[in-house]
Amino acid sequence: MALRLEQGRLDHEALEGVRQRKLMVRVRRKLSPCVVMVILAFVLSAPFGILGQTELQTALTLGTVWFWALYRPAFMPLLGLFCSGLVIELFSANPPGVLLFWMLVAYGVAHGCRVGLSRRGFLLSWTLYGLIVLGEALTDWVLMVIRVRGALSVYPIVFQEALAVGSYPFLHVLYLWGLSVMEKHDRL
Amino acid sequence: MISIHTRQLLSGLVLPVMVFLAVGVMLAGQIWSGRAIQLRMAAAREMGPVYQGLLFPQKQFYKWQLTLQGVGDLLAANARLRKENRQLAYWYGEAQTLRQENARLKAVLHWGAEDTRDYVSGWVVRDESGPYLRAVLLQVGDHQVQQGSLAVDAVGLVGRVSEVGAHVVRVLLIEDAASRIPVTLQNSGGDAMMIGDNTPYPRLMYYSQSLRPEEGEHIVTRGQTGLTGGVAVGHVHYLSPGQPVVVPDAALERLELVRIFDGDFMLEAPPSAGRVREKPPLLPDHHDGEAPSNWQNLRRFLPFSSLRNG
Repeated sequence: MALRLEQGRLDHEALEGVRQRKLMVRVRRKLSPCVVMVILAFVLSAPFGILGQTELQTALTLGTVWFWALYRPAFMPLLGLFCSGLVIELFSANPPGVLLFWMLVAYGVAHGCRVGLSRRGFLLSWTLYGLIVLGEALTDWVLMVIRVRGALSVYPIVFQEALAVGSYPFLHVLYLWGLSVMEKHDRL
Repeated sequence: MISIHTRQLLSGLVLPVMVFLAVGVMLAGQIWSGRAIQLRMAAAREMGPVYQGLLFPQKQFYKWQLTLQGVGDLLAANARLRKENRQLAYWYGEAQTLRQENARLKAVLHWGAEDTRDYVSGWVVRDESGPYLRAVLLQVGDHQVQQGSLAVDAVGLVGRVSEVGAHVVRVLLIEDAASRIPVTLQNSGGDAMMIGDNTPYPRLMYYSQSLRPEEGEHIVTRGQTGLTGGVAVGHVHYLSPGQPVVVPDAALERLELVRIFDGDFMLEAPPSAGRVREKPPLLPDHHDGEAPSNWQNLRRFLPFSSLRNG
């Protein structure tokens, strides 16, 4: 936005508008991924009766954290991630705290390896994401085994892993498109 | 003021602290799982209206799906009902035919039970069928039988009495060329004339052109003065187009026991065109106790002679 000059002085009203706009952009950038993640988790907690709904909720949550922490860590602040994780825990069907823990793990891994992963390409990041989902599924399974004090089928682990790994490319493309739209809008 | 180094150190500690907190949440959830569940239930209860709003499109979709399914079921039910309707129409036709047949058989059975009808059963003592004559002689004992009485077997019409003797009567079969019996077509109700032609199948003639006999249609005698109606005769068959014949119900080729209905319903026997008279009369032609002359005997063989006995 071009600043208007009146008689050689800066237009303070226009300057204030620019400041507010920058603040709005910063807030939107900081909050958008977390808000989208919470909305997705909340919508998927509604009783639609869809097969694999709970597993998809976990997959989309972890996929969102993984993508934004890997490609735009500035859009996903750690405090926002923790708070949104706490909110998501309210609508999750997993054992309490597990999803939040693995969201933080995903953030940490992505944040720490983002330079190396950006050089290796998509496949490696996809594989790492699959390992994180596998860890989350195993943790769920172990905690449920402890709770019921008996052996459980490992089929839910396989199902959740397959669903998460299979859905991540679509999520990746969707977030890339959203990122480009957001950056284009911010430039204007 | 916090220095940059301190700030970097603190920012590096945020993630481990949060992971530690997450582990704490996890442990708390395992230790106090009941409270965690209550917390989640409270959140779900507060978000109930929002869930209802989210589920509204899905419910509407299910309603439309049920409606479409109902329409599909209606189409299937409609097709099934049409098929059943066709079957019912078929069975209705069958029932009509059976009812007519039942009524016909009942009429035949009821016939013999009527007090007003006098009948006599007689054994066939001689079969007089030949190339130009179809007739049988019945032994009827002392029973008085009138000319023109109907003769039936167990199933249908056999013929009519053409001559009466002291103990024997001659029955002119319906297939004889001299036989003329008015009949009624049972389906259409039309009338026709059954005319024998010395073949096993009498012809059906003089029917209304608007009520043509149908293939397989049942035929009964026409009720009129001098003839009892409703006696089963046979059914229509087309030997060739436009030439209906009657397939008799009665076993005319092997008649044994024949029943003759007698009564005051017969006024006069139909003319038999001299066929019956080819054989000598069963009773001698007596005229007031006089012996028959030779001339009178010769009259039997002359053409256009009287049919009456004597």
